[in-house]
Amino acid sequence: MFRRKRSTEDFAEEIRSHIELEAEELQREGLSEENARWQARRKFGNVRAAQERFYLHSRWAWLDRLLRDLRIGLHSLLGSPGFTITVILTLALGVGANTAVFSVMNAVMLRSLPVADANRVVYLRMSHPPHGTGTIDSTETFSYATYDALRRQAGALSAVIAYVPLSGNKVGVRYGAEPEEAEGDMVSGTFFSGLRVKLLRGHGFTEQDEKDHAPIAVISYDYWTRRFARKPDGYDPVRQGDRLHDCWNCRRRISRFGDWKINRFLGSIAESSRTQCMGQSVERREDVHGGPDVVVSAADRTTESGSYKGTGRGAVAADLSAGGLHRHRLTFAG
Amino acid sequence: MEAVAFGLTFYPSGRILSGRMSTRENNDERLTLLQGTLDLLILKSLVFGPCHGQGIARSIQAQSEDVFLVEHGSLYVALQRLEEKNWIRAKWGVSENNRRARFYSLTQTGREQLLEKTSQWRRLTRAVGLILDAES
Repeated sequence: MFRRKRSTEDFAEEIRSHIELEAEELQREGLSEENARWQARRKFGNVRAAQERFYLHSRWAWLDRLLRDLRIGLHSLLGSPGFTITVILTLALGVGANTAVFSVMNAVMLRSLPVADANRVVYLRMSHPPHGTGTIDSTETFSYATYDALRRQAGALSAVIAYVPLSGNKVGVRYGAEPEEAEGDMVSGTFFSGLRVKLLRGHGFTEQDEKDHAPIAVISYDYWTRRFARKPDGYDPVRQGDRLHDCWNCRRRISRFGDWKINRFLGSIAESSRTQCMGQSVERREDVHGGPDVVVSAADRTTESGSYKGTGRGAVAADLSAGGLHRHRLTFAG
Repeated sequence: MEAVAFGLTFYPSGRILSGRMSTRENNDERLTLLQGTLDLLILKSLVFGPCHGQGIARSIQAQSEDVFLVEHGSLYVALQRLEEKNWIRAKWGVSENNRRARFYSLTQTGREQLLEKTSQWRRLTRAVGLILDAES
């Protein structure tokens, strides 16, 4: 199929040889040497044109062969559909799997979190915890007391952040008259300051907000866009819906939040590494977490009493050394 | 059938052959023949053994009793084409008078093609002959 192409030099030599042979023959037939040479040349015709045709033809022939090869290839593929399908599927799966792995890697490892010092945010996890200490599981959930102890422990971690999803799925939120659903997390007062996330408008929570159970909500940029069309007014009241929620702080069941002040924040959060936490080995782990729509500070005081059976998870963001910030995800045991 | 090839020109005898040195004034007398025709003539001239381009040109001319005067340059287009189709193959060698020359010889495919093309040609000329000879 892939014969070596004949060089133009080779062809030029053939032409020379041809003309000489012809000239010799003409000489034998009685022409003078000079005349024979001239005649031979004349009979050959335009040497340049012949060379050009040769060149063009070999080019064209190359393309022609290529097309023929393609055609044969396609035909033989069509001739054995089983093989063809297998090959196509193999390639498709291979490409697909690689793309998927890359997407995850890209999200987890290459793209950093939209926080001040993303590579120092870690996610705390307990290894070999005492039996029955977590609310969901012992390794990933922490009691509020543990969280409280962690953040009081100065030194290892510059900020410790905790969070609890308001529900496993979505929570009812009402702005104005119309109730709707949104994803929401309850977070510690250090959430924004700890992550050093800049808010577009308004301000984040403070530790005082946490203590006071201040009725403040911060909404995500996406939610702001979706729900409020990025209206610039910073302090729209958002009403928490009718669903019941547990306050992770005081462990009492909360119904009907009051009006929430809205601030805004950007982004999603993830984390990892391994560190010591309260004398126990804490594993650092990669995890990508899409930011919630609504983040509320601690809780409202208007709570109903009720025992906290804790389905919440918490996040603890911490810093392994001064200056940086790591996020840890801890859950509180009841 | 493939279209008319560039290059190959036949000079009908008569006027031109007041010598081999036909002149260009006879342009209007040039005929271009179908591409397959020259291929057929080349294949035929190689039946008797390997030959170089100049020899082929001469042999076609001589065997047609000088009816066909092949412009030697245009012969090579056909040779190149045939070589690509693997009907003929070429090898550099030495001519009887000690000149280096590229010798062409028929391949097995070429031999088969020659038979096929010959019978095709015969059918064609016969058909044309029938039409032309028909008493109308």
